[in-house]
Amino acid sequence: MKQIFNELKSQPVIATVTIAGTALAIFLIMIVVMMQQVKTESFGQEPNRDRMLYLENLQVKGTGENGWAMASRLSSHAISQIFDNLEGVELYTTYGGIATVPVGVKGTPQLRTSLRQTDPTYWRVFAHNFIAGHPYDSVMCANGDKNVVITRGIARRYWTSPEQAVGKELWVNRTPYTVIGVVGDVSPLATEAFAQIWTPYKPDKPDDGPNGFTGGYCAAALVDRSSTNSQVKDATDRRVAEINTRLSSAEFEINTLYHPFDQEQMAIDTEWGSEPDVKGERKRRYILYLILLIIPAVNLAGMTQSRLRHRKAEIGVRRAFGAPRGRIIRSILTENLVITLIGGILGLAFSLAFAYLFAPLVFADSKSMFQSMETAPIADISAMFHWSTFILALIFCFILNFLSAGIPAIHASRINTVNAINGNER
Amino acid sequence: MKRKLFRQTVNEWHPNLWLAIELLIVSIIVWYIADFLYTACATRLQTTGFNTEHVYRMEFKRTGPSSPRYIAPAEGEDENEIAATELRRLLAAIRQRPEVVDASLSYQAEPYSQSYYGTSIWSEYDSLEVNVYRRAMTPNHPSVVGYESARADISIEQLQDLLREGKLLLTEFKPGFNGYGNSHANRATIGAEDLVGRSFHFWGDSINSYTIGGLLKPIKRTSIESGLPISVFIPIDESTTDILEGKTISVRVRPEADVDFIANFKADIERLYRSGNTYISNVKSYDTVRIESDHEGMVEIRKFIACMVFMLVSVFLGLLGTFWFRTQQRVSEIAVRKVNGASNVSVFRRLISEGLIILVAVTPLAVLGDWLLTHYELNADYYGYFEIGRFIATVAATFILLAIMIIGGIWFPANRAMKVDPARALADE
Repeated sequence: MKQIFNELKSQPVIATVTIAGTALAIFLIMIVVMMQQVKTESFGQEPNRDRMLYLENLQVKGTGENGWAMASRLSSHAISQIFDNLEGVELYTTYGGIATVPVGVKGTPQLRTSLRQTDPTYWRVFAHNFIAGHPYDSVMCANGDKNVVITRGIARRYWTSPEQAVGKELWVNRTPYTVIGVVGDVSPLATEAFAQIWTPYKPDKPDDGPNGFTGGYCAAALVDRSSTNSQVKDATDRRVAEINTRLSSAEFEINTLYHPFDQEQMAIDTEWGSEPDVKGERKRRYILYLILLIIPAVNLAGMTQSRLRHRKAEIGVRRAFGAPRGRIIRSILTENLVITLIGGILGLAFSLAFAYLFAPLVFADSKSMFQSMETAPIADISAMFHWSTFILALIFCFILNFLSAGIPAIHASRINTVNAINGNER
Repeated sequence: MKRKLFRQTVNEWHPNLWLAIELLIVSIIVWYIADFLYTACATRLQTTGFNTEHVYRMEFKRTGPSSPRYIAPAEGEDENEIAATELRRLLAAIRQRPEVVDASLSYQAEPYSQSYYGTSIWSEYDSLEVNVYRRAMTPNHPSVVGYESARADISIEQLQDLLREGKLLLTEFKPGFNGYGNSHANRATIGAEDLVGRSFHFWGDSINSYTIGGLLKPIKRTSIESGLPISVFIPIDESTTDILEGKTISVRVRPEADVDFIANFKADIERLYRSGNTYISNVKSYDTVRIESDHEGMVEIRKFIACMVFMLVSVFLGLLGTFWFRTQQRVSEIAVRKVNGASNVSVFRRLISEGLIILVAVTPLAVLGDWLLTHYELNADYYGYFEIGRFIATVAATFILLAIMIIGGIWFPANRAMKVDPARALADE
């Protein structure tokens, strides 16, 4: 260890350049990793992303002679037909997309705010933290009560504390509502849990005609711990087939267009109505990681090579005193690993700081990040800290070290002892 | 001197090989990004066919029965008729504002609208079919959003009069133009000019026919798409209830009066711009609309630029490190050179040249790699994948960028080498 640090101290410029190069590589690769992780890893109000399945689209197609087809989001009736008592589903919720509507208390300017309509189960599927009040229940939904749950940020706009907001009147889209609950702010990175205000949804009337299946809702199902996501997907397909058998006399059929999607499929930008190419996306990501590792590795290898040329005499002496090749290679790799780890830690720290400070820039391609641009996005620190991030960073450091010091180390171990000690070339 | 320099570079092939491999990979990636950025810039610089400076977009909505402010129609009254009258009143009120030049209504004909309402027009006379985007607007819309007439002898006002007569406007295209999807046999010989004055049906409608009245200059949908699709504009009659469903208001403001328009307008919105159940719900400048519609493209561009910067900084660091060692090892060689009369500048130049020789050596290979990318159509699509001017420009830009990084990276070590004191360096000899 001491030798390594002395070595670094004697070559301050090279040490800085090597560490900076490593840090830069790990920084960029970790940014890419984080951009992916906020889309797929559980955090904050979406703690069970690994066992969530989302149903967003439905196509209704005529089976008669004229091949009409229409596709959109679903009606709550269609969702309940598909998910009610479905094998492997612990809970499911029906909710709408984000709508931007004017919101305010009477006598103040109305500000555009992100609204989501949901059923009462939404509050059990997602983990919003109620600071004051309570969520709406199914009775309120059925009665069409004008109740609203708001975030702390919205409560702060009009009242001094969250507790004070409860029971007060808030105008949503030019209609008066009563605030019944206040939850903590939600980062737009939690795409499905995000909104600033939530109101009870209006269940669609049961209708088995072709228009009764399409509507304005989507659904998220929480898979129970004893089932796998693919089991539930299969069960969904079977359920849709059952519905279609029942509808066969009505001359149309429904098709979920490859839904329900799991979290990874949701994260892929897919053309509407087609299947997300999970394998292709993974392959592209691995190629990107590889490029981001190979360039600095080639770079650092060049520098390691030069550094080892400098120490030729030392390696020659060690070989002359009987050090086997393996040990030389091992010691060079270990020495280099220390440098790589220092660079790695710096790179990871920078990437975390950067992602936190420049969240809107880094995560700008997240779905609702843009929708909420008018309403100041918040970066959720828990979205970026995962153990897997650290483990991945460590793995990348090892690979980087191996790539950048491996060949130079092998080369150095093959040194001709006599020439090396004499200071001759080769 | 040059031969010696070349020989030396070859002799040092081993460490130089690392640099060469790195430069090769980086050069191809940087070219790929440069090519992407070239197409992005070229797309952006293309004329859009509209001019939205001092133009604002407004949306209108109607209060629903659930709101306490809802005014129910009287018995026997047609709610659609009432809504249309209310909207006409709002339009008149907007036009009365002193800073407003004019206000128009449109359906998928507002700039940056990313709708894909594609259809086709066909003629029963010779079964000619042309794929088009179908857009609709009130006759004054072209001058509000700054469309231009395709022909110098026909003014935009004349075209607007044609719309008032119920005729359609078409965007100009040349014979053989590949609109989208369709490649009809007549395409190669028929241009937009040939369609003027002829009547067409829209796909799926064999009853109503429309006459093409005149031509507008090509109009892009957004500033980041390269295509200039063929668009057909249908007139909207402001006196009918056609003005209601899904229409958007565009408002042109006098340039000298365009100060805080949104804030001033919003201040009056409750008082002046609410008629019955109809109200103006959203006012945006088209600049904001453009930023929103460009957002995804900008994210993509930003990612590519970040990647390019990373590659270039890597090259910079790699050369800095490698050449720092090299000058350390070559102190005595440099000293001998100096003793033999080499100037500081020539020592400096020699080192820089070494880096550039490696770049020149790998460039042919890199260009081959670049060409392969275009050959297999893996690069950005902009009216095709390969075009000689674009290829040369991007290859040259890549070479220059890398050369700058090489010079930058070797600058510090070369500077140090320049300052070698021969007496001290050769003291041991």
